[in-house]
Amino acid sequence: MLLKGERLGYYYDKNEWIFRNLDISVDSGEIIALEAPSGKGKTTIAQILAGYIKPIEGQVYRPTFNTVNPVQLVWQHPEKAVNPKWKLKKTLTEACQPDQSLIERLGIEQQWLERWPNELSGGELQRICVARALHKDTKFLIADEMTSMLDALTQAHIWQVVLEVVRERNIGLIVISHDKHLVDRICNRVVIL
Amino acid sequence: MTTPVLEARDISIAFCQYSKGLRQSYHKMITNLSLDVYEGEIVAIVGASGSGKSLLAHAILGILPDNCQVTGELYYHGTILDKQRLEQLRGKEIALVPQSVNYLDPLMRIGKQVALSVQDNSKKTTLVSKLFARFGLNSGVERLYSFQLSGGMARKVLISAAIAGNPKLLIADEPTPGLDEDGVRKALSSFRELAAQGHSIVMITHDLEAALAIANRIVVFYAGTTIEIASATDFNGEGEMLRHPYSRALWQALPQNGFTPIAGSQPLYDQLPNGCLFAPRCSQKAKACEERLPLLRECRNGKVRCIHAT
Repeated sequence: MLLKGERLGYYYDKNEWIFRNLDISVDSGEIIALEAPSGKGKTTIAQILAGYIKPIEGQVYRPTFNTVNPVQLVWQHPEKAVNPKWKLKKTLTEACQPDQSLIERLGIEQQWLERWPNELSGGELQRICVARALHKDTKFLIADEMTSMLDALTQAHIWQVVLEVVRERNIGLIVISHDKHLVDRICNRVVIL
Repeated sequence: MTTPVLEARDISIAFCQYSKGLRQSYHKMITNLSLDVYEGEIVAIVGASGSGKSLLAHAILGILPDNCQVTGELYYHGTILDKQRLEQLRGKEIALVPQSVNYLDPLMRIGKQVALSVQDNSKKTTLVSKLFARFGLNSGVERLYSFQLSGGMARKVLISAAIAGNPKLLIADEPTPGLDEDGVRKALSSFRELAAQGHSIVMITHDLEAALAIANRIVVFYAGTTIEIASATDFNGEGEMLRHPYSRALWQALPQNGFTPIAGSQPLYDQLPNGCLFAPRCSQKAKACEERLPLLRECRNGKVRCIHAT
């Protein structure tokens, strides 16, 4: 299965394309990195591939679905990606109930789920966002600076679990990161914008 | 010995919250934290999110909300830093690089905002363009509003605004996330330049690598307290020079080292253990560790809060 964008183009300001004629593809089980200086549209590409926004030019080929999006996005700032008025139990099960084993592997503690988002740290929230994104029908995962706000230990922990799950379920993974060492460590291929 | 530019002694910060109806409860977010910074020195405070790093920065600048109780003492050049003195120094001698773009005024154009912190009126516009050029922001950015900036651009703007006033003490709260490699290099090199001119910098970060790239000393934070103060050169090899097991674990978790996590997570602020805060995750845990919080003590030219360290 392939997630593919062909000749993609997008702008926010008519006079200034942030990218044009961009080709990108990722296969199931493949781990690619997307590298570019800030402001070059990495997050925009992530949103286009996930189907959140439509490209102004070009085509996106993505798996079809009925209920839950098989292309999932994990954002840099988890506190902005959860509903502040929901207890975390509701956020965690927003798409569907994630595996109990996944919850345990991510180290999500039962008591966190009874709390409000502002009571937890970024690392704790991000684990919940990762569990939410890895539902049973996820075929592709886009990690947009997923751990760049987290300390090294939490980063290593989250990546260890994500890489295991990606391997087990043959998920295609796009890693957007500025951390060269991280990219060298986990990615098969690098796409430079 | 010279007096430190900034010294924090046993700072504790507690939040007062309404728990149920009119009942109030206090949550201790920072416990007995100490640190010092000397002239021309860069000190990095490294810790996980939720360990209370930003609170410390806000405490130093006196911008915590009213429901916050701060105990302990802050000294600036050897004399106590009280509210009045702080108000005189803040924004002039002491500046903050805040953590997020939300600290910018959403209704003021970026160029004008950065110019506010330039002291010398005649240089306002030229200095702003010079700073922007240096960080690779084109001149059009000066006319934008904060919501039009990408994450990396916003970070560059925040750093420019803080160093435009040429502060003696710069507190940088997470200055690097969202920046690309080149941006990080430029930000760090401008910090280093400031330090070489005798200014002092406290950099608060979760990014151990960025911290090691420029800091002289590293203060390691865990669950709201200092657990180790080490020289940056101690982070080396397998981490055998480090004094605290958490610092060692942090070092070994970097992607270029072992990339190995350890089990568990930092305790929540209202469920701190009685003894050593790291004890529940520590492989060297003994009975004495769980009895009381170890004191921060001198150890091989650094400080550590662990009874096992030698």
